[in-house]
Amino acid sequence: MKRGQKGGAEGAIPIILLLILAVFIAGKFGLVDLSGVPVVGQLISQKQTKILVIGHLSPQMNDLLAGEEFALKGVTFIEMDPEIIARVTTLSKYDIIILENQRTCSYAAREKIADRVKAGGKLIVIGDACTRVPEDSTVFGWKIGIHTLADVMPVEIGKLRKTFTQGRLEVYDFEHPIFSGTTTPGQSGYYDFSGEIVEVSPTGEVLAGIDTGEGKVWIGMVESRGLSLGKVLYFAFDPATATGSKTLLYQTILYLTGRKG
Amino acid sequence: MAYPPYQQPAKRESPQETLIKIIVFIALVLVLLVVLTKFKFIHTRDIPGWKGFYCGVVEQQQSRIMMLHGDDGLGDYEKLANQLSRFRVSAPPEQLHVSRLSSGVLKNYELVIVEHMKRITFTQAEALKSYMDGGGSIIWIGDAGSDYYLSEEDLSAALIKNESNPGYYERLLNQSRKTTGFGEIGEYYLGVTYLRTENDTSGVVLKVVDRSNPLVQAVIQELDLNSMPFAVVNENKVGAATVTKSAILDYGGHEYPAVIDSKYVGRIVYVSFPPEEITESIQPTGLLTNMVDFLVSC
Repeated sequence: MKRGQKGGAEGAIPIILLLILAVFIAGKFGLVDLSGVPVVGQLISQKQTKILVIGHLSPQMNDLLAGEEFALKGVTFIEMDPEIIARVTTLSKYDIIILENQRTCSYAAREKIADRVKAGGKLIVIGDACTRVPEDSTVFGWKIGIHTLADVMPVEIGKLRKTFTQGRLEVYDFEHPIFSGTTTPGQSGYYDFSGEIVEVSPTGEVLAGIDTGEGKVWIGMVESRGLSLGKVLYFAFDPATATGSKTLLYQTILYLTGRKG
Repeated sequence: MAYPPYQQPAKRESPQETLIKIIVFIALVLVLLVVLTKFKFIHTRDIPGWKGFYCGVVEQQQSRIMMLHGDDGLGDYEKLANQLSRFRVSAPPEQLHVSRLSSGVLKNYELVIVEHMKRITFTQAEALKSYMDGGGSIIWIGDAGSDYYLSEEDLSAALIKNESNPGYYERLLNQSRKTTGFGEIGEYYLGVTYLRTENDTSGVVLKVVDRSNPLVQAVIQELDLNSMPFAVVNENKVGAATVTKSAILDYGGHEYPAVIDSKYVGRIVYVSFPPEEITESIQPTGLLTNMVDFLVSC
């Protein structure tokens, strides 16, 4: 070896450092599960799950998330108005964002939420949340605005009117981690359902539907797909109103945050 | 004794060289993205995180919008500017009377909105054409620029040019006699031919015909515009460029083009009615917001 020429091992140091950095970043964004790796897992994972609710939780959902069981599991949440979100809040500090009972969201709020998802954020949208903009009745749906929520939503709005329906929630993808513990492997999961539902057309992966028993099957749960780091789960109904909702909600939180129960 | 041919050992690339190649590759990709964004082939929001980089590092400011207006024609430019200033609080549109328009005035603006400016001189039209040739984007509303006339400025400039370019003055006079409607701007830039203006209307309905077009996405399928005045136009082809009609006006049993867009150097949108009049509110409607959002990068 000539003087001044670096050896093979020494020259590979920058590449090794880059690889370590890439693995850390992948772990941070949940692309790889490092929670079981000693020391590294503790650095990557956090004990608490911070949820930002844009709008207002339903009473049933509030009871679940504010309940002792979720608190002991480290789940905390805060409710905020979309306009505050648009102006002052940093969304990256929250593990999950939930949109519920907030029909109107400004363009700025839509863009900020969509940008967070595109950057790796996790979003749960319930019902007709963010399907209107303030003081404008000429537009509706998640496609309002150029490249905002429509880019990340796994559904398109059908009708704005909510419909009260009764039937059963049918799980189509019962091997999905969300349904772990709520369905028996190898069997389809059925739950009684009674509540309001929004009609949507799926563009993502349909996980569950609601069969009214009258020939009409509503799209119930849809998950976004694609190469984006972020993830969106859409519920056409309030998941806290379904039978077994506690497990379903907790599994959803675990799935989105990439943690283990 | 024959020796085997000497084989030079394959040169191994050091990690530093690989790193430099990666950095050069990333720089080239960034340059490509800047060019594609600048000439409106992609929008800053098409790629996650790109808007922040492009607007913060490349442009270093919010896009500037100019509202160009005259003294007559369809639309209320002050209402439009007011609505837009609520939508773009930190970079509200600036206003300019067409009489102050000259070549180069518009070069720092990413978007020019032309409204309430029926009369236009040939010099003013040239300034607008030169802006569009240079990559500027435009929203052309209603009957703006549908009434050409020769101004004193046009005639004096033509007389001076005539000395170096004999016959220019006569050609201009001839052109002014032949020009009708939007003239060359309609033919080569907007993609429409102006026919007339409908002022006293009732029961006008805006219908979305291309739901996939970003300009009208989320706009309700049939929007009642009531007594909305509008310009009656015919579609035509803009050179080889694709002209897209995304909405029509249904009035008196006939359908007329309402929203037409095309890709020139920048992007060009023609709207046959004043979009600020859709609502009484001081807030802009989704259609107006879509148009501006679609045409500006930052």
